[in-house]
Amino acid sequence: MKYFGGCDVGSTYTKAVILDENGKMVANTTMKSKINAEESARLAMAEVISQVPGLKSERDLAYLIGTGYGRNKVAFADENISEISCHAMGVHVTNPSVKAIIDIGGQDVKGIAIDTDGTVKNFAMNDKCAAGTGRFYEAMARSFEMTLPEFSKLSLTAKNVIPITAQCTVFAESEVITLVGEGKPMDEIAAGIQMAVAKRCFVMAKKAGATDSITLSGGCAKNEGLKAAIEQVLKLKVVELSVDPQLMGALGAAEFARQKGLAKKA
Amino acid sequence: MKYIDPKFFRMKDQIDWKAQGENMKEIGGIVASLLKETDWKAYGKGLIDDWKRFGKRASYEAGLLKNMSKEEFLDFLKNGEKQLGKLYANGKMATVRREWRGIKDTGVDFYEWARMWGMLLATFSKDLVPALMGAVHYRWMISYFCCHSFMDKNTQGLRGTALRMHHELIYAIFHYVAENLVLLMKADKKVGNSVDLSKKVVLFDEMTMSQIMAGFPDLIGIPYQLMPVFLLSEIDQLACMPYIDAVEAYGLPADTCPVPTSECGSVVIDALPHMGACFISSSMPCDGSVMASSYVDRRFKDLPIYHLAFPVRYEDETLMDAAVKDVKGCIRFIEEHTGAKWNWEAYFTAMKRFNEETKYELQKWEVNQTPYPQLIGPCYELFRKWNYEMDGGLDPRIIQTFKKVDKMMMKAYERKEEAWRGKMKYRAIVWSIPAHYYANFSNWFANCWGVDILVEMESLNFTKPLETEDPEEALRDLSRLYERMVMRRHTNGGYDHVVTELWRQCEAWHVDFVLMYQHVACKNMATVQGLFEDQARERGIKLLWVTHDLMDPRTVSRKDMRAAANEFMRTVMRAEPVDPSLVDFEDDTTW
Ligand code: SF4
Repeated sequence: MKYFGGCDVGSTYTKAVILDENGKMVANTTMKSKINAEESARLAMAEVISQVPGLKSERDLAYLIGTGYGRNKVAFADENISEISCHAMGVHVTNPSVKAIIDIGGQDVKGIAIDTDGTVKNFAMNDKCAAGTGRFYEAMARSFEMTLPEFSKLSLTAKNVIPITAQCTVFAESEVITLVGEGKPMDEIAAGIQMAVAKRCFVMAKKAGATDSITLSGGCAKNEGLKAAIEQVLKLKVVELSVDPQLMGALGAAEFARQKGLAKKA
Repeated sequence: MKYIDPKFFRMKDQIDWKAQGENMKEIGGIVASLLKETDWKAYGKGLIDDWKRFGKRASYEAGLLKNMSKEEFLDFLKNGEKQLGKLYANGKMATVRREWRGIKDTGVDFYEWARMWGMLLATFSKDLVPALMGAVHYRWMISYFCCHSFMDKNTQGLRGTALRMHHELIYAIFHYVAENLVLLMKADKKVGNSVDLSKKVVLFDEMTMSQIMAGFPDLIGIPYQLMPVFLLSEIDQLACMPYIDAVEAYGLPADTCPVPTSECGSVVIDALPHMGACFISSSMPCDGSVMASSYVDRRFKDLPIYHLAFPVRYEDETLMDAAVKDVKGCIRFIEEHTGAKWNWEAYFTAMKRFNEETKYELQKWEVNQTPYPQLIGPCYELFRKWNYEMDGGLDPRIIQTFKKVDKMMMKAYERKEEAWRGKMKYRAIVWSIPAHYYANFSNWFANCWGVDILVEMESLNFTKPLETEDPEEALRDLSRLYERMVMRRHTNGGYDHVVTELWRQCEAWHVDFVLMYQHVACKNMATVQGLFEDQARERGIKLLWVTHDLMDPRTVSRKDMRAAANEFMRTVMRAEPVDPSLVDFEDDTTW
């Protein structure tokens, strides 16, 4: 059996996936990125390789593709592919009926439209500021002195939503601190934050041409409160993926590796 | 009559030698303190490092040549080098050497290089002293020493006829620039102080149609901000930074468009020459540019100003009576302040020429709409804009350039030549506020990804022949032209001219995608962005959005602009770069 790898070196997390010849996921990992992208990639690959009996190093993989913000640092990969293409492919192999993605990464937000073969039809990207990204959530949770899952759960309990007007992470953080200081209900402020990010996603989803359904990928996809806010704002169904949405980039990279590796062999 | 009338160059200078002496003393002081502050040891080390790098590069390139097969080497001799990324080196801000284009084309290139030097020397020698003094008065003058680099970057990768055509266009533009620089410095109170010449100069801003000066053959019209701001920023990417910083330090918000910001900044740091019999200001396209006019107004209080400012409605014929009245008022104003008389014969002669030039322009478009486009890229667009707005048929030499280029273009078209040999893969047009001159974007796009920019939105503004017999109708045409000046479409064009027109153009030019320049500071186009996206999707047209901030690369870097295009080409177009050495490089390697 031949194996194919995908390694997604993100700004916050590094993810790796190994697929077998039939496209079945046989190993995966998600770990916090180190300051050195190459080291992050090596550690993540060592972890997934240790999960597959018979594999000793990345040299045993038939093909390996690097992706993500630090993709150029995956020196041992056969090839690099942009994370936009990999996210599209990852979602496509997980659920071919999904045609649009909002990918919320640590540093950016992307709207991606997927073609019938899993390639990218179009995309839009906000990488100029941290508003609505993973970093934004981290800052907000910090203001609440909570973890991200706790923050997400809290927002779901709100009966009302207090609108947050600032989009910028810095201003939003001070706005939130003011609201907390004024004694406003915490759950309603949290719901307001989710709504603010959902509105940001609205622009991206529109750019990506989402019509009836959409899926979320990236770390923030696990945020239930955001999912609820997006459904409310976008009036689109948010499709749940059967595979961890944070792995979509690495999965797409591994699928590209599988296609390329098999074609090479042929 | 010869254009520009030689008597303008011969007019007497009245240089204030005492003031010049003081200025030179101050400059001398600055130079002395610079010399004193220089770390000569570090400088020497830098020189040695440069030589070492040069040695390394030379041996690397010699190695590449040595490893070539015989066929590759012959191709190299004939067609030149293919990996242009080699020309850049970190921190150099210019290419490390000139491009090797093959024996014949490198010969052509060097000839043009020398021809440009010859023209510059001959033009500046018409009145060298004020020009030299201007160079120490105005730092923007120094950037014009880089015009050869501008020429190199705008012809990068070009071969054969396309190379020669581009050289003709660049030469024509720089001939105009050189002559106007000499006149600017000669008439400027701070430099040449030629009172006689100053009386003959009518200044105007970039939204006024220069064609109005065709009726005054005894005067000279100079677009005031062209040389110290606009063209400058296209030659030297960093040239407008001092202007922007100066006016922002004054309190102007940093999200204002860099066009009016730079204009205002140039006033704040006193970078605009002081001269002229009068100034024609126009109704500007946006609040930012209105602000710029008011700065000029306040700075040059002694300059009589006429505000040619009838309401701009793009194509509202009911406005024409009011517009004609305003244009007549403007003509009267010029007559009053210069003593010159409007000359219909001279005007009609120039406009006949301009109409002929427009016909040649349309011919270029016709060729570019075929599978064998010939004259493409930012340099051609720059020429079009310059001809349409600044030259306006006044200079009889320009029709010769048109004729020459047209002849070359038609021959190349018959031979089915490729403008960028082996690099013509995708067809695209530019819409929205174009940034390609400042960032040298279209040349890079063609060389790196094989994307050919066939035309841009601003070039398409107005092609109607101007009336050449009936004076009343001629004034109406001048008004119509005024309504279609640069930046008018995205500010006054409305839905049909901005959105629907794009789909019509996509069909006419058979595009693979549209390069949508998204200017972060210009709010006008932002209002229709969603409509563009929705309608493009419905029509199956791909849009590449490239965010930019015109001449300010600090808001959105050139590297970020290229990264957006790289991502689009890889993911949406599923393309491979034709020259991978150009995919990623630092901005400090080039201007
Ligand atoms: S680009 Fe837009 S904001 Fe800038 S001067 Fe032109 S109209 Fe005004």
